Amino acid sequence: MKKAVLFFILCASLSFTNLYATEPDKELDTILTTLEEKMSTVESMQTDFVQEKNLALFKQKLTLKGKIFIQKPGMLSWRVFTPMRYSLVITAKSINQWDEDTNQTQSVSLSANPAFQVAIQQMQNWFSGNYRPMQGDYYIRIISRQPLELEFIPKEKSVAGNFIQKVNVLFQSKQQYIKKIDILEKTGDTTLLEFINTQLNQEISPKVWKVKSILE
Amino acid sequence: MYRFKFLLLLCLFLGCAGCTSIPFKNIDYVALDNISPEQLRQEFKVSLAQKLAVINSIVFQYKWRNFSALGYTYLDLTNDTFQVSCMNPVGIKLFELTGNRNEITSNFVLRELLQRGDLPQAVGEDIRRIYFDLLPQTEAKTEKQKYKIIFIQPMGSGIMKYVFGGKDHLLIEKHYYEKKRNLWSVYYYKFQANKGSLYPSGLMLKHHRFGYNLIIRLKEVL
Repeated sequence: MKKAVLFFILCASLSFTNLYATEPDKELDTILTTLEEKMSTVESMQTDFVQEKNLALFKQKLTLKGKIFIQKPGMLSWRVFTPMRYSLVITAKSINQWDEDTNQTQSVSLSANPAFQVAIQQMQNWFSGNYRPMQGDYYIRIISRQPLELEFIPKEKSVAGNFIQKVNVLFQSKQQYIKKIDILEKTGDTTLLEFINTQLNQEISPKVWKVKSILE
Repeated sequence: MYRFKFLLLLCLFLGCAGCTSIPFKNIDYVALDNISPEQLRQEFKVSLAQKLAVINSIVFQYKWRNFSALGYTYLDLTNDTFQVSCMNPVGIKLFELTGNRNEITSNFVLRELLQRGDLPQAVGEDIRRIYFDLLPQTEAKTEKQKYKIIFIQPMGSGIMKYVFGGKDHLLIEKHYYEKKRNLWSVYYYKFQANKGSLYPSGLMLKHHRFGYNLIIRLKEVL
């Protein structure tokens, strides 16, 4: 009798565990598939951004403002206007950066800058909408459904896990692009990236891909 | 042949001059006939910001290589303490340190930068060179020239020379010597007034001994 009760409890607990493990996974999978479909309609994006960096050591925050241009597949132009002028341009052929103080264009070696590599990969990942493969490196959790907000926690063995504690991504109501990214770093610093005046599938000026061109 | 050599030398000279060109407007010198060294010292003392929370852009120049970053700096000159966080323009933190006159503590250094020697120690020392001891002591020897007033005083195991000048009679140069050798200099090209206090807003540190320059531009007073 005791054995039967024990067997029953075991079965019940296993089925409950199974239920809790699969239902959110199914929902997450549906959400990620929907996101992938919606974001795949976006071929290009241009957006202003405000990046607020809260450093654990300081009371005040550092605010960077600029513009981001993305053209699929794989082209990214990151322009900072304040507090200093800076640009980073990634194309199929090269990764170059320029800043007004040195007025020099430098090529970036990602293999020599793992933190930079993580940051760039993160940006490309977030904007691609291709989140399902990211489950290899991140635990993904639904924070809210409308508006959709997802939490990404890097797995211990992932490269991002060396720098990042978690990333929250808030999507625009139609789920075609990202509205906010909130990054909590291992150091306790936080970075909030907010995207405003976002335009989808509009023609992007070719000068955006020239790292030294000044944009207003 | 002589013409070729001359051209070669000229190119070399221009090349070197280009590498060390001054990224700021030159100081407008004015005659300081009616200014006493003590009056100048007192005026500078009351105008200098004592607590600075600033964002700077920083360019590190070494052997034809330039490297730029953004620095978040907090300095309390009343007790000689500082906190610095340095990041690249995308917002990736490179290093973070705190320090005072005697010690420097590194809170964070990006792993790749650790391979380039004791960077936090070097940065901390440069912050002291640039922001500490901006005011000569009352006991400093003074030398009055037409366009400059110079203060000289012992400092550590060497000598510090302060040069004041320009239309606002501000600190424009600071040179540190050991055994008559100029080890480093700081050139203060600009000061910015903010809420009644002056902040160094355009400066260059030249480390003659190690052969590098640091160019700092004030971007924001917080």
